[in-house]
Amino acid sequence: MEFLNALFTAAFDNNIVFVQMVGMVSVIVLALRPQDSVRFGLALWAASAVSGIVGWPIYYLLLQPWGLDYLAPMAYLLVSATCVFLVGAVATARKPLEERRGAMAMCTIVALNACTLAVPLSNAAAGCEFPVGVGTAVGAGLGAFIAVVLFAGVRNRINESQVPAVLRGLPISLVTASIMCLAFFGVSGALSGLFV
Amino acid sequence: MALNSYIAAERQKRLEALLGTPTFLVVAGALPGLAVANNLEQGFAIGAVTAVAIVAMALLVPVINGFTNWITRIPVALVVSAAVVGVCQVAVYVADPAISEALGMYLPLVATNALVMTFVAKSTFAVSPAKSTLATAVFAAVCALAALTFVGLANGILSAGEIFGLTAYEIAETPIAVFGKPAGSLLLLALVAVFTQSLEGGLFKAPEAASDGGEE
Repeated sequence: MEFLNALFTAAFDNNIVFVQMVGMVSVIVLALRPQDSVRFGLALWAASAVSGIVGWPIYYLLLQPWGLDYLAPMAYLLVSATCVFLVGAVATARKPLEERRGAMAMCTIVALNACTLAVPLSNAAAGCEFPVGVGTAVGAGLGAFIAVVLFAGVRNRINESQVPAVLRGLPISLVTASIMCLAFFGVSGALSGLFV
Repeated sequence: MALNSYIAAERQKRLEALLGTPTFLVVAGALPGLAVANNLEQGFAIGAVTAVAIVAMALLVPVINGFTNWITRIPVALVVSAAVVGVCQVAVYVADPAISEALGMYLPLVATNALVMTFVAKSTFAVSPAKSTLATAVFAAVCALAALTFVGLANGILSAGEIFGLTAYEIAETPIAVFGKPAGSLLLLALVAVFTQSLEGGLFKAPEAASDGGEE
């Protein structure tokens, strides 16, 4: 139950993109077409979950007992980037060159996304148990996936509308993101405590 | 189904049009610190750390490229970026522990953004007449600092009615206090983006001819 509670809290109440405002640059740049956003969202979900799950034992079993908390960001970035590139290389080992290049480009974008660092950092700051940490990691990834897909869908609709010239491009994307932040703020609290 | 080459080319063109503008540099530099730019001091602190990190990584990435290959480049660059931001974090803690506590996990997150900004400065955009990665990075750093400081100042005024430590009047209970939330910070950044875009035609390269309707 703690796992499910943490998962839904991280995905909706404390959404990593539109409530905590982490990783928003990638979302705004890459959520152009809904089809691309699903692929990117899934990659981000996997990377966030893996970085959170791997980051918990690194902090609580290695860094904290030895008083090396200040090394946490470096350790998280190194481990998560290594995992992301390793998985990408293994998954595309027998694929054509073009597909491997595309996968490596996606791995670079995912490794540079702030979500992969924010998830283990927030787990470390919260001082949670492992099941809660796993739930938070998976939930944060799910929240990022939902945020990316929803934003791409809304943006696709905006592309079909008449937007004033002064707002075209990044300004309207930021206004859209602002309204989506308000929407997530409105549903916060609806799912917390559901599985207690 | 394989991605149609025309769709891929069109997507790439849209991305280049989005990334190759000063507005993107301003927005991308300021976005990660937006959540904690709740008052002038915090906005300036996170802006300063972002600026230092961007310039430091613009200087260090060419050195890192010299002794890494394509698979180790990103992890090494990320660790170096995290180290630079760690030093900045200590500096902020020494300057004001309360602000360091308030900035929380958003300080280390500047590490990833600094690297992203360096790659953007290197690959897609160079400010005329400098036309170098370092000059573009310095421009991005200054813009990020200015944008975050402005957003922090505006948030402080609109959410708590405070300006330079003085409380003008209590507006925290009024609807305008939403500007203290992330949604309002994004609206303020959109205002900054509108301002930067309006300058683009005059000071920087002319934007693409506007199409009829739509986002482009």
